Amino acid sequence: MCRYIQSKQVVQSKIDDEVVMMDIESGFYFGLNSVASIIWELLKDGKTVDELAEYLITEYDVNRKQCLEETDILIKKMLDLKVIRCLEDK
Amino acid sequence: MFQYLAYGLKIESLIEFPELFPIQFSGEADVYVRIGTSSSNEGETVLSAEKQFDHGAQHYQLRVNGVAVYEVKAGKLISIVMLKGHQMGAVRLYCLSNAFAAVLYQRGTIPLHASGVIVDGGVAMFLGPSGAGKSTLLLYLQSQGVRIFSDDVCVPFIDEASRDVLVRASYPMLKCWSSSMDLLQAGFEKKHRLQEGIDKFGVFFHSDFDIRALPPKFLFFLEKSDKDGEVSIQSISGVDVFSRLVAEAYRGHHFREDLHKQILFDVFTQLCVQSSAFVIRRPAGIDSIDTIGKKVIQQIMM
Repeated sequence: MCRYIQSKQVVQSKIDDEVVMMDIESGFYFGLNSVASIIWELLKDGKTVDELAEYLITEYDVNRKQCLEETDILIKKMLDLKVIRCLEDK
Repeated sequence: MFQYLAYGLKIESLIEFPELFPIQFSGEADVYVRIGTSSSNEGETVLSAEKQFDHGAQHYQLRVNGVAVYEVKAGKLISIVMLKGHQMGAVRLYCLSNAFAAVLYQRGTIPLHASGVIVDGGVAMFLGPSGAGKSTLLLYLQSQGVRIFSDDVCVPFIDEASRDVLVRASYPMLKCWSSSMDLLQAGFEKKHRLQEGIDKFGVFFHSDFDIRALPPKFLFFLEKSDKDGEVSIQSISGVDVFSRLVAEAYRGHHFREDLHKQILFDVFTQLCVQSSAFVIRRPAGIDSIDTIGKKVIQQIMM
């Protein structure tokens, strides 16, 4: 299982309860909502999908299966956008 | 030789610009406006009637057929080669818009397509593309006693001392269609036609022009809706505001590749944090300036 961590290439800033990120090379930017912002914060130190889901289950009223699925989708999106990378296989 | 302040910059010009705010200074100007000739270096251009502009990070050329060829270098020099049949009003107009936009981008600032009024020591900005109603709204607000800050372009930047964003005005003239001036029935004089054959006039506000950089307070994004209905005003926040600001970078389509992305990011995210933002939607083709103006006044006076 991969441990994911934020990519260094992206600048980020908090606006209200969302986070906007920009790839300074391409100028491409995107935003994360409040839950995705929390995931993004957790990815500062490197986390697996399981670890992310575990944290969200304790904070939000959501079942494990749904949480894992949605976290996985977000991680795949972030990988596509190259804003996170796989740090190591655990 | 004429000296002015425009976009927060000290200008020294060989052309007289009645639109600009005259000042006197000694020493270096920030920007020099020169007249080139077709035989001088400045007149050499890669442009033609077909290819009308060319640019790099510190170099910009624009040809407006029947008006002039503009060359802008290093955010410091504007050379103008006038073309046969030109009218000075049009020569100045493209200089003040496109050539100065190039100056600002080359100097590492990101001008916004925004008008503004002064509210309690700060600026309420109205953002939107040409035709969105920015200038008409400004005229309306002026007729209601609100002080105009800037028309069409505002220049946000990060103040080195406070690290907050401040906003500078362009110059003390607003550009308004004749029909909009008639609509407001406020007795505005149509003395300064912007360009022959175009029913648009300049309204000067030199005596009331505020040259200070002021903090942003409100962002109002003006939108036209194809649907019938009423004027609406809706609070927006977060990344939505950031995206809308990026879309309103002035002449952004000309300068997209040369944008200073880190500066854009820093300034626009800070603008989002410092301002309350709203979208104003109005049905297209219906005179709604009175309703919009009242809603804006209600919001900024709260």
